[in-house]
Amino acid sequence: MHRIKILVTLGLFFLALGLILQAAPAADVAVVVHRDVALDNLTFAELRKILLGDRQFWSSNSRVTLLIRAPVAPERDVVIKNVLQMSEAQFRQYWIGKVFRAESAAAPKTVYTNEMAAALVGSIPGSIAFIESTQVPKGTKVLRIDGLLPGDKGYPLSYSKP
Amino acid sequence: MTIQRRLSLSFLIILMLFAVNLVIYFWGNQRRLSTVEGLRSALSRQALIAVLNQNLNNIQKQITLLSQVATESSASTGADPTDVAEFNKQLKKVEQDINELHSLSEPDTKANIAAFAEAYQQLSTSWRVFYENFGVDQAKAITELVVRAEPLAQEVIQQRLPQLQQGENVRVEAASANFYDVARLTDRTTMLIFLLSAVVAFTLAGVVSRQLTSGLNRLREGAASIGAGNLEKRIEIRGKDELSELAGSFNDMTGDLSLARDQLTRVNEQERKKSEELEKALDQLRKAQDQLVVQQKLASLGSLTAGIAHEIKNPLNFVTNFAEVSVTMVNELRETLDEQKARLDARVIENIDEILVDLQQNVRKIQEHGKRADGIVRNMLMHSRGHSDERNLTNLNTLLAEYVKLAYHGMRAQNTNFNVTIQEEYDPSLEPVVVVAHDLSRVFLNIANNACYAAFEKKKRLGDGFSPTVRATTKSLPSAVEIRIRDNGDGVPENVQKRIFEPFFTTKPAGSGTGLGLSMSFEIIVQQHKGRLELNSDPGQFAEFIITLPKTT
Repeated sequence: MHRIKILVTLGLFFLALGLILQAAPAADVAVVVHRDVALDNLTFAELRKILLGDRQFWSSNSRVTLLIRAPVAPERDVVIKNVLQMSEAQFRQYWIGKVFRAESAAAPKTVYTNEMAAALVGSIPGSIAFIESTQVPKGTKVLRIDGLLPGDKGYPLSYSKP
Repeated sequence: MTIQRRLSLSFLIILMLFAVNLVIYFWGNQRRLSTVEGLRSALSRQALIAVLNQNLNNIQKQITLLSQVATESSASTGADPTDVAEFNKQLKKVEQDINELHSLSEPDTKANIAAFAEAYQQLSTSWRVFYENFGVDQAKAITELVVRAEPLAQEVIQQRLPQLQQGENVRVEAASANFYDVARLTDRTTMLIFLLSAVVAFTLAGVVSRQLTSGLNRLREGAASIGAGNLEKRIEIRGKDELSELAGSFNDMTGDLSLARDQLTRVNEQERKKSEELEKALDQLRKAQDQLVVQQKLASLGSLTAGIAHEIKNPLNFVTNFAEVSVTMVNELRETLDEQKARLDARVIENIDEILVDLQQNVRKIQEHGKRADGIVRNMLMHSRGHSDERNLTNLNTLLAEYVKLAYHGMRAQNTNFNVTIQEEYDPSLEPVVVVAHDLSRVFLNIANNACYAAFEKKKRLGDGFSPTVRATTKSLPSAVEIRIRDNGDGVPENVQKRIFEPFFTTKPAGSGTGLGLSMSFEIIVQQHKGRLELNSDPGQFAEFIITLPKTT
């Protein structure tokens, strides 16, 4: 009897969740870079390497400065989960380890808002940031991911707004 | 050089070697200390750079992680003032380390360190800006970090600091190499000097000990040789040291000992000669005593014999004379009987003839033995009465030869089987000597008779395998004449030799000798001619009578 109650409760919970998700509108996270970055397109794998710090230079003279939103921000979650398939804790642990092993001289810089991210991308050469596509200021360089821009069907960095 | 001086010099040399070793030790120590100082300074700088590297890396990691590990919203008020103060303290510490590094550095590297310090100043300023704005003006903080701090950190930590580190590594290696070079050099020098010192010390010890042991061995060998009685031995003296002086004293002592021994030997020799002379004198005395005893005995016997002979001679004359008369009477009786032969019976005549023949034979026997007894008595009288003193110059060679032949033929006359070889060797240089020739001839005859008798007796006993020989020799001595009569008969036993000159002593069978021949000869030679009559005999081999007569008597 008790088991039946639990099963019924769980069934109702997942049903409500499905309804909620079905109802939420979709949003894409744009990958923006400083305008001196010579690339227009990144593959998903290249994006993953940049996020993991395995690629630290755009070219011989241009260092990658990774700007990422602070935790809880949906842009951060999308990047960590969709691209790296990691949890927040795993991501932090990964970078702490990398810094302590001296495998990277720089770590992702935390920005609190999309505006800040956009402003810093505009001012810091070689910087890359992840901003919800609707909040990307005009004139900001947005990179394609596997040839897709935010809004395109199949764009890998999309999420559902709550 | 004396041993004391030699030992003192050796000690001084060893002391000098010790001082040289000590100087080399201190020199090596000083050299090592100087290089150690350089090495220590280089290591200190290297350690300081390592610390700097560590601290800078730590700060950079702190900054890096801080930039990544951030608060979740912009509502943060930034770093706590305590954290800022702590952060500044870390930066200050690094700055102090850099200053210390600058003070420790070599002049040629001070410029690099100054440039490093300047770059660090910019970096620390940038880091301060980042730290002070982090969480407050996050954009400014990130911009400062990315635009200024990270490139500066790249320059300071990744370029300048490794360059300094590399330079110091090279210096440490150079200082280390220098240290080991100097250590090797000083070690080798110390070892070389020590080995040289050891060689010199050993050589010195060997030379000194060899000289000492050589001298001591010479002394020991000399002492052993002298101890064995070789007083002619002298220890070789080398150099002028205490051992040489001792050897000289030893040689002097040996010389004194040798001298003393020679004197002792001479005294002993003199004593021995005196002893021999005394022995000889004693021997002569004993002989003279024996001769005196014999002479006294002979004298008493002579007087006794003279008395007895005189008493016997008269009745003996009667016996011989009446025996002679009896023979005449027997002859007369035979003549008378021949005249009456026709009247008497033939058988009676025959019996009377036989009786007369026996009677005549008996009487002749009585006459013969009476004459023999008369001869003995006459000899006894002659022995006792002494001899004629008619001395003539006589050729002893001729006299001896004559009487030896007479003895030989006399023996042959008695026994036709008698035969001995007569060997004669007379000294032709022998001059005539004044002697009583008549008496001396009796001596020669007696001794020659005895010799022939003894040789022939041995021949009879041994048969044809033995050749009886009698040898007569004369020899002229400076002051005397020596006459030897030797036979190869059975010789004279030792117990007989003592009594052979006694009167009436004879070894011949009864009736063959009177025992007066040698006694009379001894008297003639010794008393009458003042000579010597000696017997030399090897019993079983020979007997030799030696007559020594002085040339002037």
